[in-house]
Amino acid sequence: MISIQHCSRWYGQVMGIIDVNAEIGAGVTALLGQNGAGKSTLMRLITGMIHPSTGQVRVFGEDPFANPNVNAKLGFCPEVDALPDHLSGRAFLMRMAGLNGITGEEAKGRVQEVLELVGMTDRAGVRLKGGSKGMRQRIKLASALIHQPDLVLLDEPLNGLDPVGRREFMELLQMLAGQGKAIVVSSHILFEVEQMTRSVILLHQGRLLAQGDLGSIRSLIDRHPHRIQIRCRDPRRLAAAMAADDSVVSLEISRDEQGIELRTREPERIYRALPALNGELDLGITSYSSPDNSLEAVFDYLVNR
Amino acid sequence: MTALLVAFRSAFFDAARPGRMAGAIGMVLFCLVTSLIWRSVGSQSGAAPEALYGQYAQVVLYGVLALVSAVAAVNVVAQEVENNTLIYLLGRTLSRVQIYVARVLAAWAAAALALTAAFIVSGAVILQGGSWVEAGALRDLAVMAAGSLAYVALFALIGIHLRKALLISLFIAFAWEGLVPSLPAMRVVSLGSYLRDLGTHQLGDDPGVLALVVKDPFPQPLAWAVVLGVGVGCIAVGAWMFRSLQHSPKDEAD
Repeated sequence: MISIQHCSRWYGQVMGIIDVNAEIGAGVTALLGQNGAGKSTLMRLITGMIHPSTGQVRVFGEDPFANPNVNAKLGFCPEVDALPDHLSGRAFLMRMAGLNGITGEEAKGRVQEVLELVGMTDRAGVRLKGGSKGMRQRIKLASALIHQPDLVLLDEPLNGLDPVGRREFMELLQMLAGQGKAIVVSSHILFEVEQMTRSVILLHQGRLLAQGDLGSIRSLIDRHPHRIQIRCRDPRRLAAAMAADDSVVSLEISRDEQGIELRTREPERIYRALPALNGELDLGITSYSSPDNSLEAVFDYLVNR
Repeated sequence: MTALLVAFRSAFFDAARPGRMAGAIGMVLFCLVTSLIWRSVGSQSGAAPEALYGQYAQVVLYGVLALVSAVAAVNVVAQEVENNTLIYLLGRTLSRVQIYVARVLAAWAAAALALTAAFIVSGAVILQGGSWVEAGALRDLAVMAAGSLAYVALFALIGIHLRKALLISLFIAFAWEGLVPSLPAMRVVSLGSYLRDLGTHQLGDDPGVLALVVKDPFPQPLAWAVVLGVGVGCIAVGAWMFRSLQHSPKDEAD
């Protein structure tokens, strides 16, 4: 659906993105990076708001810049929290429907449909000026969906949403992806993205750091020792048992003496061994987890390697 | 065509909503008050209503025409840029050219609505007992329609790329368009000069400084060509610029 080839974009002397190559297809894809990484620039290039300085962007095989054919299949929910505040959510969506060539009863029906989809039917008549951040985000998303696009781009959609709103928003995205739509979500909140998708594009200082399945990206850093945190009743005995394992690089007992954290080059081996050890040594293991499974850790490794 | 109408309608209701029309209503009230004063003072000098109206139109109404058009033109693009809502206009199924033309026409319609009220109120007050036809008041309505289109198209064009477009437009409308028509060497570069000449007003026996303004009027065909040419030309250039506009919201860093 989206093809980005050797794409660079600079604003005067400031680089937005540098020589980015990427292919994006169906499903949910996350565009990840810290502030200034180039996410919004990439979003603007894909939505045809700006031209690349060099390289090319193709969306559905066409140049997206000011292209109504592409716009007919593409919905965009911008990051900026600006809406025509004098309008109600419903009036705003009716206007957006009109600008997409949807009129009359069809527009009313479509507006009602997207309002239900984003859970805003009960507050659709409220002026946007008095609306909560969550309400405004939902209305923005509804405006991106009004013309039933195949590709939806969401720039930092979870900003300002409360935990319940975030969960509902993520469920909504999964539902849209389930309908066969391609969803591209940009975010700098990595743990949230991790809950949305395994398909990521990592950007850092305008450059593409990695692209693909989170597992594939994780394999890029296999040489880096993997951390495992284990909570148990007898951490000293567990530490002694783990120290005998050749794959363990380091370990330390937590300050509260309720667990250990170890670093290993073969995490699967440790995971396999833990149940047996727990039984043999009566360690009282209550939980184990790996912070290295989080996208945050992957991102840190890739940036700092 | 339907799509254009839909875009026009939504832009018109936006431009003509009460909050936006407050300025226009204020301008109509301004015309009502000043025309009452104008008639009251002018009638003491024994001038005919047609001449009083002609002087008032030259001094006040054509200035109001530029000011109201400047305010209305902000609705086309400048306000959306200022509010960071331009993005909702750009990524749509309707072409940018359609959206731009529809918004210019909507702003023009809103301006023309307010100006028609201002012109009629002024005429009704000053021309009591006089002839609308002889005073050129009916002709003024046609000139006003063409003039507001030209002004709205010009100011909308300014609003595409310049920040503080309203301020710049008001300066042009008030200072440039108010002053330049009275400078014989410069009046060729003011839209207001052509519009005032199209008005063909009676100014009475003692027009004062207005005698300078109407001394060497432009030929009517030339004046019409310039006014309509500026209107159509600015719409065409504006549509092309809007089509090519790259959008970088001011508050996004990356």
